[in-house]
Amino acid sequence: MWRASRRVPSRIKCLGQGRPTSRAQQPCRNYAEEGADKSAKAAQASSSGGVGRTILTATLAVGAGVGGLTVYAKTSPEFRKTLEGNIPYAREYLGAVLDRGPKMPDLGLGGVVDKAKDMVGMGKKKEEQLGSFLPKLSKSKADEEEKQRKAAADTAAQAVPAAADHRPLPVEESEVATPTDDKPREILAEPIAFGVSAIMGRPQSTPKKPVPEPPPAQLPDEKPPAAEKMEQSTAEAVAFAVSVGTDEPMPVAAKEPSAAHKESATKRPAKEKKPVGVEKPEETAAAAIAASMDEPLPPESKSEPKAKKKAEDKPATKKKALKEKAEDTAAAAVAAALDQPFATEARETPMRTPEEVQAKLLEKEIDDLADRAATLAIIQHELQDLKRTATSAIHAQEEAAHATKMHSEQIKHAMDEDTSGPLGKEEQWQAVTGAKEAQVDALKQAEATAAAARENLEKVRAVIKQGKSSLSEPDQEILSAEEELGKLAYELETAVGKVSKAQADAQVMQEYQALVEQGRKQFKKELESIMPDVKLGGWRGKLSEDELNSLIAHAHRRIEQLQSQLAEQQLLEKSRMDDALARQRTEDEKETLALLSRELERQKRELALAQDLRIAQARDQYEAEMRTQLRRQAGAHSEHLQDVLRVQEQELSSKHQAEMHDALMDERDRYQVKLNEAMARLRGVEAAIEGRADIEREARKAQELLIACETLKRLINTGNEEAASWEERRIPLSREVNTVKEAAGDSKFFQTLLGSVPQQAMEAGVFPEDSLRQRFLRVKRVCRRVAMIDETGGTLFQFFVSYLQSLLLVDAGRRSLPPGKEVDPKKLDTFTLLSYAEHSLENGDLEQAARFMNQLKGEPRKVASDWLEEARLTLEARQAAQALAAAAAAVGLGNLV
Amino acid sequence: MAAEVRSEDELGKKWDRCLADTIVKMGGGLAVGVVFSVFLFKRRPWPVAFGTGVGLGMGYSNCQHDFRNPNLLHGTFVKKIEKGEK
Repeated sequence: MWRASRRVPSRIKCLGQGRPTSRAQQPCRNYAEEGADKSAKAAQASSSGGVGRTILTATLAVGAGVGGLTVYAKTSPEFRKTLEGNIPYAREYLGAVLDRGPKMPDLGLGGVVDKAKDMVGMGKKKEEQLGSFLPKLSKSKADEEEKQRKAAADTAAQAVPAAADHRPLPVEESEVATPTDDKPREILAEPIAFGVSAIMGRPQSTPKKPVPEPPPAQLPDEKPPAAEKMEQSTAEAVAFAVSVGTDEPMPVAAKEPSAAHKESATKRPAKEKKPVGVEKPEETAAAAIAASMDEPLPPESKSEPKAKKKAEDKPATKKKALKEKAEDTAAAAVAAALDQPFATEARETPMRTPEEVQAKLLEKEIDDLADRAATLAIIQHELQDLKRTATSAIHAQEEAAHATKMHSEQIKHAMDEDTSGPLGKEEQWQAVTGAKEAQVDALKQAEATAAAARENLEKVRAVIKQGKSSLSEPDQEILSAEEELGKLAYELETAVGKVSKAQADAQVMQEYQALVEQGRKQFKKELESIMPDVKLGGWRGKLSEDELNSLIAHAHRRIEQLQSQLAEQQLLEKSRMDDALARQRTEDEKETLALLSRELERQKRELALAQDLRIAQARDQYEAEMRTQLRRQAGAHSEHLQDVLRVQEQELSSKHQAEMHDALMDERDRYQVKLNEAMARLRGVEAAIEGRADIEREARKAQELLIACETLKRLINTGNEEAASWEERRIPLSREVNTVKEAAGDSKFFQTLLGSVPQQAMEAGVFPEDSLRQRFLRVKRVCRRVAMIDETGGTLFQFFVSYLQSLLLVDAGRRSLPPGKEVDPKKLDTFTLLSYAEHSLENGDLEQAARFMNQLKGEPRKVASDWLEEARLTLEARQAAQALAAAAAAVGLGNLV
Repeated sequence: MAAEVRSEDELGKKWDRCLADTIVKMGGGLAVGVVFSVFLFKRRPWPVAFGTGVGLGMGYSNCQHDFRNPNLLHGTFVKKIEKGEK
């Protein structure tokens, strides 16, 4: 029937059909079609996209629901908690959505990162600090300088304490000259070793050139900067030397290095200051001295005394100047070196006095060292020079002697007319002249070298003398130097003597030659006078007999004359020979004397040297012995002191003990007396108090009991006052009951009373009357509604009828029990009972109300059973509490003071 | 089951149970009726009504039974809780 076709009605009855009319029209209801439409629509909906639409709608709804819940959870944490509690996985979801993304677990990386940052910062700080200390092997000059400065300070500090005590020498040298870890120090170790060994007087195995060339084999990399450094220092030293010796011409032909030094000096004028002030004092002194010593002597002075004087002056002045300079540099170096470590180590704190003193001591030491260095360096160098010059001089002398001898030989040879030999006369005389020239040259050379050597000798002697005077004690080296000096002088003198002897021989030979020449000339003259046209050697043609006879006669006459002359000469010669012998003897004597004196001197010198040596040795020995003795004495003294102190300590301690004991005993006695007094008094007081205490205790117990009972009563009456609703005003009584139990103690009466408190009251608690009253209203309502139902239950219809009855029966207020009138139990029905009970409750009579409620029957009774139970409990508890309170009051009243 | 049911509230609870039960049964009947109506009876309305009525009747009957025999106990399933779980 609902599939009927649509029919247009004849009359327009509803809206939608035809034209709207003025009549109030209802919209058309097409029941039949509605269902069809509905079902068609449903079918349509289900077929054409309806599923999708449904799904979409459902999703939207679910999403909206969830979103709403989430938003609400965000606002209300209680709601969130509820959700999390009830819906599984809600906590995670809410946490994810509301807590801004998932929380990363704390891996402890934050701490690590912070620690790393700290360490980086600390590392950076340390780098800065140590940057100035650590030796950085970089090529930059600043780093080099800093390094060397530090090295200078270190080695100066090392050398100074090493030199402070006179330990055996090898230790010091090894200490100082040992190559350290730093590479640049190795470069500097060489000059340092040289200078220091100069200080110590030990000659170097290989006497180095004054310009300390860095050992090339070791460090090629850092040679250039180091070499430059050396050059700078020596340039500076040389410049200074120039300034010192301005009156002397600066030798240009000194060395290439010196020129290079000057160049380098001019090139880097700025850097002079820095390295100078910081270089090692010994090194500068040694270098300066060496540089100065290498200047060859001025060629002017040739004569000995002048040379001697000059030699003395020059080294003296030079030495003084050098010493001054060395001192200055040493002072500057010390100051710089000392300042440096102090400045770098403690910039804020000023120099403390012990270190000032130490600095001063160091200065002095370094001064001394500089002195020694200067002196010994000078001496050494002079000695070397002297040796050289002396050997060369000796050589030259020997050569000169040889040349002279040769010359005389040649002359003799030439003079000898018999032995013409292979050479003709002309060649012979030429040979003679050659020899003469050679001799002249050799002599010149010899003289020059001898003069030089002599000058050097004087110089060295002067220097040694000065050194000996300046230094406190004669050094081993100085003594050995003196020895050498003496030896060299001796050799020189002997060579010179040889030369002079040769020269004397030559002179004799020359005289002989002259005489021979003279004789020959004379003869020639006489011959010429007699026979003027006859030339010697020019025998041309034949001579006449007269000429021959006259020549022979002349010759005979001449021969006679000559013979007589010869006899004369022989006599003269004899006498002259005697004279000559005598002279020679005297000369010999003189010479022997001279030789003797020389020998004596030499011996004396040697002896003096030996003596000095022995003295030095003896001194050392004595000093060592003295030191040991002193040490022994110090040890003995300290031991003695210790013993004495120990004995004293014992004495004092024993005395102290005795005194302490006495004082203690006194104190104890006094204390004992006081104590006895106090004890006696105390005992009296105690007795009094105890007598009192019992009374008080009893009183207090009674009070406690009373209070506890009152508390219990009140609690039963009021319940939990902080409760929100009447339902929660139950409070367990166990605590208060226990308190009462404790307060009651052993009294049986109280125990019994306490036992009467129902167990449930103790555990669960009781409702106060107010709660029961409030509860009663509800109970009453329910009871009224089920008044018609009995224990066996009822049908729904009965329930409905009973409900209707309760609605219809008006509650006309609380009926009060007529006073004195008896109540007929049969006449009581639910409503009456309820109203009676309510009335009694209103009047505060819970007991009566309970009695009334107990009369209920059927379903109302079941409904009210709980209430009744509670009421009963309350009543019981209240009764017990009241009894307790009364008893406690009775007890307490008696004990109330 | 946390708090005990008070005697005066017992009846109320009983009524609640009853009502809920009836509604559920009615719904069930409705659903069954709809299904039957759609699939078997060509979308006629009477299965729906019938089903609903059946549900109502069942609920009423249960209520009645419950009220008539008030001393019969209603048991509930208690989920076994392991130690440590909430």
